Amino acid sequence: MSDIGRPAPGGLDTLQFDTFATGVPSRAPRWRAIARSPVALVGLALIFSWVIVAACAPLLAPYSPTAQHVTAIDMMPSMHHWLGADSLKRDLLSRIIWGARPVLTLAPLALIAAYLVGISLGLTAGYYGGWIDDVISRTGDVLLSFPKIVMYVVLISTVGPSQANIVAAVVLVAAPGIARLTRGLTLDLKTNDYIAAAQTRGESAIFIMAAEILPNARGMLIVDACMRMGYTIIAIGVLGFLGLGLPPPDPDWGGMVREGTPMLIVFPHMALLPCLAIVTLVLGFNLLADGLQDLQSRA
Amino acid sequence: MIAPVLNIADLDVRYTVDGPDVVAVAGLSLTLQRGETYGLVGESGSGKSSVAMAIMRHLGRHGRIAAGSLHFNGIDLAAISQRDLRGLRGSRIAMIYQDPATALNPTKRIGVQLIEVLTHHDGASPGAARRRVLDSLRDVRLADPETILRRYPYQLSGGQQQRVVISMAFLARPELLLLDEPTSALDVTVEREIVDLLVEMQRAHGTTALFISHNLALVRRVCGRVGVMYGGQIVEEAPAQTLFSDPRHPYTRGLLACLPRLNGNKHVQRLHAIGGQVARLSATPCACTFLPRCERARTGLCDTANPDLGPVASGSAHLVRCVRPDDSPTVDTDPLAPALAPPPPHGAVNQPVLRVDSLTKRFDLPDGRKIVANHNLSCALLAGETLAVVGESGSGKSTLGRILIGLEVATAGKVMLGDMDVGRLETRHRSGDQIRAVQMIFQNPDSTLNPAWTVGAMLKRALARLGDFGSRNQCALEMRKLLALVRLPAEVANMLPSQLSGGQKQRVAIARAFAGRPSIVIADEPISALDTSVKTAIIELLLAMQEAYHTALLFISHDLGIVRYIADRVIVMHAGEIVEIGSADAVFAPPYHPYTETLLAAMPVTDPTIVQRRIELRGEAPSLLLQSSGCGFASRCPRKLAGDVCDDVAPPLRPAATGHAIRCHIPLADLRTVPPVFMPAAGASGAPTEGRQPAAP
Repeated sequence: MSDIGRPAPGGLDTLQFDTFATGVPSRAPRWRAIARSPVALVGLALIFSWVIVAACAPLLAPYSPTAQHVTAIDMMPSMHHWLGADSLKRDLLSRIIWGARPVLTLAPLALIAAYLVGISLGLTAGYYGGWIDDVISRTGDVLLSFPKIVMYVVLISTVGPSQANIVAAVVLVAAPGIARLTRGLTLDLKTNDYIAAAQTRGESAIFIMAAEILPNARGMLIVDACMRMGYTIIAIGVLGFLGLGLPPPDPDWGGMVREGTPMLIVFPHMALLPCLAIVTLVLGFNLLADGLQDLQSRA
Repeated sequence: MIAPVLNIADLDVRYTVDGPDVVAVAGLSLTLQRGETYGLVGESGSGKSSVAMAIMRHLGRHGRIAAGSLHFNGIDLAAISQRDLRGLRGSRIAMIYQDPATALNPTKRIGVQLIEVLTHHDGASPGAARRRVLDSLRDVRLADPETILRRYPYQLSGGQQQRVVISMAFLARPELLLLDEPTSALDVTVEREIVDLLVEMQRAHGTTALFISHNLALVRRVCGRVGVMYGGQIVEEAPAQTLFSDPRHPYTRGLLACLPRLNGNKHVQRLHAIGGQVARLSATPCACTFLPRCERARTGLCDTANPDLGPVASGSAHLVRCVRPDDSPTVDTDPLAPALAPPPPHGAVNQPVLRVDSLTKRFDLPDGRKIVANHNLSCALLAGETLAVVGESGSGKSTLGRILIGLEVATAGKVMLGDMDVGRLETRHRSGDQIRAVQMIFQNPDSTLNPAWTVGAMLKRALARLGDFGSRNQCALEMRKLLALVRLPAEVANMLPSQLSGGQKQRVAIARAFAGRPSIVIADEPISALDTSVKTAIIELLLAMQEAYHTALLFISHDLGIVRYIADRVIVMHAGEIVEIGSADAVFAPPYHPYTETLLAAMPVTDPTIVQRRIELRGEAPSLLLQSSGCGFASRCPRKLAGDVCDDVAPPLRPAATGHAIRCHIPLADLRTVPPVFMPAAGASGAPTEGRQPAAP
């Protein structure tokens, strides 16, 4: 018999490192981890389908979205026009395919802008506290107390519908909510000892906010962004429906619903099919948000 | 033979989340006779709490009883319906958890909650229930029970809450009491009282109790029989006295050797850490569970099968799970790690690196009230020494540390770092050299490291900020050196904190603090969240780092055992004031400040060769909101002088010897006549030398 597995009897030299817990997921879900959530996968599939449709619109659309077809006599779906045509006898399928483009460029663009503003304000308010927090939070409260749709309508009808104005309106409507969420996360995260450790290294406030706090808020913010994508797509649709969307004749899902509504009884497909497009895209983002949230609470 | 109250046979508890089952308890058998107190000790992950949860059938969605039987007074706990189980819980089986706040409903008054227990379980009338509740609150020695009844839980202190929980548990007169770390969230003085109270209540009611704890000393005080758990199994079981005087399993011996002895310190003998980490089981072991950490393991013997739990001698009540339990003498100390050089004669060489002068910190609350967390503190930190700051929570010891490093600023007084006063400077307003000079190690290993950063990245950042390393390559090189210095393998650099154990995280935190070779490191309870065997390794690492860099260590702790071991000098704080300051030898021996004396008397002790004097301490630490003009300790002091002098006049800080001072009205001559708290037990060999040497004048 001989001695085995014998750690040296020194107080410090006896440490072995054979028992690391490996494969423990960190709190922010890795993209690969999405495979473990069927809900998130379905959401992602819906979103990706629309992204591909938007990207390949010239290849996929059978006709120009603005061309009028006298052949579409009864405007109902047919061999030539699979989804039928609208009241101006334009091919509905082509218009829905081309209509994915403005919504899938405008919504992310507007949200990125809103997040830049909201995260900066929220981090600042949460980290510094005091009067800075009061000013930012109270201003946000005022903006949040307006009904969102009223805000959109008032803003766009004042400055006129254009891509830039829609982005600006989304920032103004969404940023206070994002700032409030970020502020709450910051208040929580800044009590961690690693923030105190950074302070005792003499790190700047900007470094602590951007490098120590923000990465740990990332998971929650990504989930929130997915939810907000849904809201924003709906808002853009509503603006189109109210005639405050992108100017015609370019296809816009909200605008298509508006044009189809007067003939809803006779030709229901004209309004319902663009609605379905909005629903599937929004559903995709909501499912993705649900799945990501679920993954985070599991981790 | 009377039927046992609780009989557990071959219990297996498993958890299934993702992937293979996690075995928490493997083949555990346990019998509790009526009126017995059984202690289950082990480190985190040993499965001790899972045993209690299995008895209560509270294993949750992922856990299950995979095998074995649990019988409570003949009732099969594993088989009975949820409805019958509800009838048992709270009435015949009661449980007291670590955090009293979770056991009480925060939205209901204490009285309503307690009376409900009786009206629900016993069908008592509200009037009769109320009378019994008042009696039971008196039993747990809560002053003014009528007022307590009208309070909400948040209006009570942690100690008061735990007393209410205990009275609640005993109200229904349970036959079995499960105690899961019932005092771990409390201060040491409160812990002592609560534990004594529990023992008294349990004797009075003849209740059988299962006491689960990581604290060996506490178990020794409370329990008749003790089982030591490791890796989901009991590795040793014996009557408490036998276990502590004659431990046989290498793990039990290791745990006891990890604890500092009262008659030694780092200059006398080094502590002996158990190597490796607590085992995690995932399958039936085919070798001894403790094998990877065992220093006495033999091939062909220990690696072939997991040994059975068997008696040390035939018919003995002392059971051990080891194939060679008695073939080597008790390992107490580490023969290879030499004791540190004796301390230099006082004040001979070491210059102060930091001087605190009349420091006061006041927090102004929004409602106009004021909290005085530090009141007129003066002390110095000498180069390379370890200065311990001890006191209960709320004594202001952490605030002192936070002011020194610049996380808080002083209201009045000076903190001299070199020849500059930094007391009013937040860290970011300090110069690079001043920031580099003072670094800090925090308490909670789970919050000390940023979960989004890899270990390597955070150490490189600390080196870049605090060290003099020009290039990235140099930083990376230095980072690897630093990891080696704190005994972590190089691959840790690419890991995230979530992949490390508590002890490993604290090692990284130590590496980060020492990155810029600071002259002062403030350690705020650096080991209180760690397991016993890990604590020792971290303490030894701190000592090694301190020696290597000749760093002064301000060691903030409530653990007097560790303080005795590590500290050169000790500051005792109470209610924001320094009540005693002196060398460790002087503070741990008479003359004591009465508060120091009560702290020492409440200190949990495992050493069977020592007898500890018991002191009654009434009340809890006073609120820092109320600053009396007299002594802050007067309301609780067991040696309070007759007359009003203690209440009305601030006591003077009197020098008792060179470098030793006591803030008390009691004349020093009287304090010197106080007998030591620790005395050698009658007939014990190797009488302790500690505790009887007054500081050399």
